[in-house]
Amino acid sequence: MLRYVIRRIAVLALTLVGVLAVVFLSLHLAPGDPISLLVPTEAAGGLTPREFVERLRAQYGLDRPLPVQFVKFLGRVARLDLGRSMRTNRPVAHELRARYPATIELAVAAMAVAVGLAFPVGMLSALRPYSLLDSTAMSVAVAGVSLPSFWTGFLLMLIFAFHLGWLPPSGRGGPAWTLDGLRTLVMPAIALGAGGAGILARLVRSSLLEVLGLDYVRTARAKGVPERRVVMRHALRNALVPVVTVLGLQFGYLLSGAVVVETVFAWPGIGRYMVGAIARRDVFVVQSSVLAIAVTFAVVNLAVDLLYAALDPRIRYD
Amino acid sequence: MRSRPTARSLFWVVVALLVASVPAVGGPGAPRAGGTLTVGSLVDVESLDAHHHGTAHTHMMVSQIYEQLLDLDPQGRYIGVLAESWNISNDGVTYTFRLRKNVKFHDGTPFTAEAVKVNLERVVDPATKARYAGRLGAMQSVQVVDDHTVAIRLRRKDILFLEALRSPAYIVSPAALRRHGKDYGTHPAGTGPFKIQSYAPDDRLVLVRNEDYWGGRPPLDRVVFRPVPEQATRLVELESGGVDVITDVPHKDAKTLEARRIQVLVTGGFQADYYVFNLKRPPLDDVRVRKAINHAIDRDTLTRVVYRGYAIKSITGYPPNGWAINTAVKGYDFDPERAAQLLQEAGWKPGAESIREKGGTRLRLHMPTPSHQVLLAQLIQGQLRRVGIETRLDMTEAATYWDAVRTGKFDLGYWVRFVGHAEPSAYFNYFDSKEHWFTMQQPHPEIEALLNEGVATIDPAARKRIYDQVQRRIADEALVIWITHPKFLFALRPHVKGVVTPPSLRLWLHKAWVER
Repeated sequence: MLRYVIRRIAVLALTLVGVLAVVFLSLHLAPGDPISLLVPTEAAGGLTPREFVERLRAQYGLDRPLPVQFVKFLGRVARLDLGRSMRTNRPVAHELRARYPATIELAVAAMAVAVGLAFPVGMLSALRPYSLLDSTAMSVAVAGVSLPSFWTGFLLMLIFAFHLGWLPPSGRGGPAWTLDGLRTLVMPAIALGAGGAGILARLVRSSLLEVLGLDYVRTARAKGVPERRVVMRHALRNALVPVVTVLGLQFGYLLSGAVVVETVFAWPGIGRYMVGAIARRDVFVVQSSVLAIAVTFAVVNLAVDLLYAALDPRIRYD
Repeated sequence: MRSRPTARSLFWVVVALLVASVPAVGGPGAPRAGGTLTVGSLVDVESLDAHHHGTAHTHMMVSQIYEQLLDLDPQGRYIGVLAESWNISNDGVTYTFRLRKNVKFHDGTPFTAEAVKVNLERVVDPATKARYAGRLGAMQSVQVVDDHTVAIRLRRKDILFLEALRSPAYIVSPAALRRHGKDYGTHPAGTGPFKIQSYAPDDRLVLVRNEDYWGGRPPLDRVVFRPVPEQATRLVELESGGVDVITDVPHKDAKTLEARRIQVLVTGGFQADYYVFNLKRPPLDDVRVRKAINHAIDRDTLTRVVYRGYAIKSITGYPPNGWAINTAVKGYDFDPERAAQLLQEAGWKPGAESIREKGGTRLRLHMPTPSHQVLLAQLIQGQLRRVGIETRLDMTEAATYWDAVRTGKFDLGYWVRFVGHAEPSAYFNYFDSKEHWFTMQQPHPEIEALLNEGVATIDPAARKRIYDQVQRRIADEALVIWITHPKFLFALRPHVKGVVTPPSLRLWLHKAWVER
């Protein structure tokens, strides 16, 4: 088990270098000059002389050959130094630390929404397959998957903030355990979680339906085990293995989906920060934000893999 | 030579005049002390280190905390802020400032001439990486004459030096700079009417009243800036009372807001939206083609449809309400017949699909378009199509777009110059090939010479003559398609009073209050 974890972490490190290389190259090969965007056109005063711009470029090391820049960047990351934002001159680590909790909070809340909706709906559908309840629930689930999160978001905002005035339209009132924090978290969490709920509900249904048709379930029923116990103890646990896999992947989608929801709801998270940084080609920030998201995603999926063994004792990591 | 004694009393007379003459909101009744004003801004403050930012929105926010030696009044005249008065030596290269006394930084240390020296030297120090340090390029040395007098020597005459002192040169507490070094930005200390209470990136910047403000105690307890990037969200926030003021109101929403008793403040107009020609690429090196395109464009329609009337049609690229406008230049009327005739003269004859051709080449122009100006580009596309010019719009995100035009990968390129005041040189900088954002691609030595002369001349009448010529040359050679001078809209809830919005897009909140 421990050896497995160590091996996975080693692979993870390699994956991250790959991720960084892709991000680095796409940033530097894409059109758009980071230094030009630093001296924007909206400035009021005099000339921005060319030599001055080139001096700034040299100061940020952006005049060096790409391989040199990349190796320097990797070296810094290895020393856990993420550099400073070109735009704000604050250390990128500070900037990320200020926003990371908000993004994780939103992703976890959205996950809770997704799971909280998907499990009851999926299980009920599996227990009454092809009934009116089943087809209604699954149609709603398809709708949940199909509606883009920004649309769901605006709809929620119009109803609950604009017309009813029950919730604040946007922003983050504080951490989720405060009332203000909770009030601002509800709408973005639902907007972000709705899509995941749809996918999960369908998966729970099909997975449970499949397991319920297996021989051991029939045996359990034949032995007179109460139906409730058959479903909850015998069937659901086995049905969970594929669901948990998708949950892990979903978490990644939630992190990336947060980009849109964070913008709509003015949520101070990493996604919105990253979008802004990409638009302004703040290269150090983009690289580090992607790194933070990639690490989170990888760690969650490692945890999911370890969870398999807990769910299904036949799975062993040696 | 030129001396401006701006005593404190005169300053307040000016402020009183401004409040009376510019978009300001205030009904009858005295200011009521107390309360919080929340502003929903398009973007977050870039940095609280006063020397590390540049966008108009960041200026709007940090100018509550920091002040400069001088500022512009809404009529575009310089007024003393931390400087009480100044004079410029006869040779035009020594600027002497008499500083305001009894001013304290938010950390309690006094504001002195030494602080001015420390700050100006920090801006130009390459280690600071100040983005606008280039503006202070003419500065040679800063000398402390006494505690409240500072003399700045320039390498050359530069009319824009006062502007540079206004724009990148906020004065921050030297004590705080020494204490926090590189991380000064997390401990801002200025002299402004509000001081920092807390800052959560992308979430909120909370400022509290500076009780000791030299200009009088501000009525508001607190000012909160919240970045709300999404347009629709900003409007919902305003209407539901989540914020009291929003910036960047879309022109199309102004009338709806007014109908709902929201106050809309219209300001600005000191900006130019236009299209540049790539003068290096045929057929745009032919003045007849450039003139034809200028005649083919219906600016009135563009102003009405794209800007919903919140813009002034541009004739010379310089705002018609500014002091240096050349009223003799008439620009190009909307005249498709004349456009067709000019194209015909230039040898472009109607061909297949009524697109003009010359020697088997179709008249096809590449017009990369940033995503926020699609409607403008589409209307222009239609107008050009009517005279037989085909255009290809390439929608790209902004960073790619600016780069394409800067590096010459375009035929017709949308461009914008946000200035915020009437100084003419600022409108025509981009015609100088020394400028990083030189967009025409082909240097124009005569115009460049005029521009150099313009910044080295101090007499306003002589300067007016220079910029008259610049406007005339650009029009005669049809070097640019001037479109409009757009306005900028703020929206305020009905209970917000006393907010002043000068054309520089600042928000003067020192006298603002909320009525509950």
